[in-house]
Amino acid sequence: MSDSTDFERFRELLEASATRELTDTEVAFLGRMGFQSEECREWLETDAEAVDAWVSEDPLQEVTPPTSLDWARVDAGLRRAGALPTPKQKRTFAMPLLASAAAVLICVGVVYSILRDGLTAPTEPFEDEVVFEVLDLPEGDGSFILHEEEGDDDGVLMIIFSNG
Amino acid sequence: MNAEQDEEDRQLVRRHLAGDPAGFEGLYRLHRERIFAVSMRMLRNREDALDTTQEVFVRIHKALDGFDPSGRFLTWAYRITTNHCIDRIRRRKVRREQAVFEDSVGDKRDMRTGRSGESKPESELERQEISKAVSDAVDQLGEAHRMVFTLYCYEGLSYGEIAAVMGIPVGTVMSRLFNARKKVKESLPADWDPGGPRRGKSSAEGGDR
Repeated sequence: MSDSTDFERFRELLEASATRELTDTEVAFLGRMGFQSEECREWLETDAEAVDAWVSEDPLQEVTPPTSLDWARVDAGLRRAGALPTPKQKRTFAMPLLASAAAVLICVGVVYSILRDGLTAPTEPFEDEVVFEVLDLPEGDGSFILHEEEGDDDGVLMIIFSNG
Repeated sequence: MNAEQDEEDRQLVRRHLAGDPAGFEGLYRLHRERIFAVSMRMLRNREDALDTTQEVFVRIHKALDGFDPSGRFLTWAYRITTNHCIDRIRRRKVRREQAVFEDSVGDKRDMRTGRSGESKPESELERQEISKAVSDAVDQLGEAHRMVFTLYCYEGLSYGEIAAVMGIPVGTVMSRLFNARKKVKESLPADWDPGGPRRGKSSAEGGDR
């Protein structure tokens, strides 16, 4: 198909698009020619100059941004919808950060202690028994004295009860 | 829509997906004015544009978990915005039709007094006149043509970007823009010479414009 025929078809299809739905093939042809052909692209921009001049005069070309009060209203709406955190939520979000920092510090402390002291063998599990220690102490030291017999003056028997 | 901006958006989306509320808040602070401006140009009403901006960001927040961070956030946000604007224009048309009906059976004088008594500077009147003329012309367009026209002429999006935002082929963007321009030109007063210079970006921006 020659360039001029393509151009004719391009124009016809654009004009036709005002009155009927184009087929997928026709739409694809428009898209392709709109990019490839300078002639087609220029024709596509027919009326563009006049309309663009109009649009450039439109005050809405420069939209005045909303005021801080306007944004405060939008922010409040977003908070109500749960999209923005409330000031309270912001604080609660800060708490896990503190907790995390504390946990990291504790971990560092534990690791440091292990490196410094090494890992000790686990302690014996607690046994529920009574240990008796019998000491032979000199007489007259103020300890609680049990005299088993009247004549036993050689020493003092002291019984210590130890639990664990 | 530039690559740097896209990358910043992606990082904020990832932060949101990681559970950091600052991710969404960052996206909102970064793009809210742009979304407001798009809404304002499509709806031509400040209150409606503000409400739409809020609705759009609520929608974005709800849907952001399903957003693919490899895609363009702004294209996706534009799509949500255009859909919300179309909804609002439809609702507004219904309200307007109701208002016209109520006006036709009520007292018409009340509606006129609000406008006639005000004295405004000449430039302000002229601005309002221009705005109204363009607004009326754009209002004549169907929703689909209006969106393409606004995104191209006001937002400066390319054919390809508009196709991505609206989810339509580039050829359809071209035909809609062609017909929209024709209709706008027909509905503007023939004797009014805007005299403004042609906006450079329409011709100067290369690529697919």
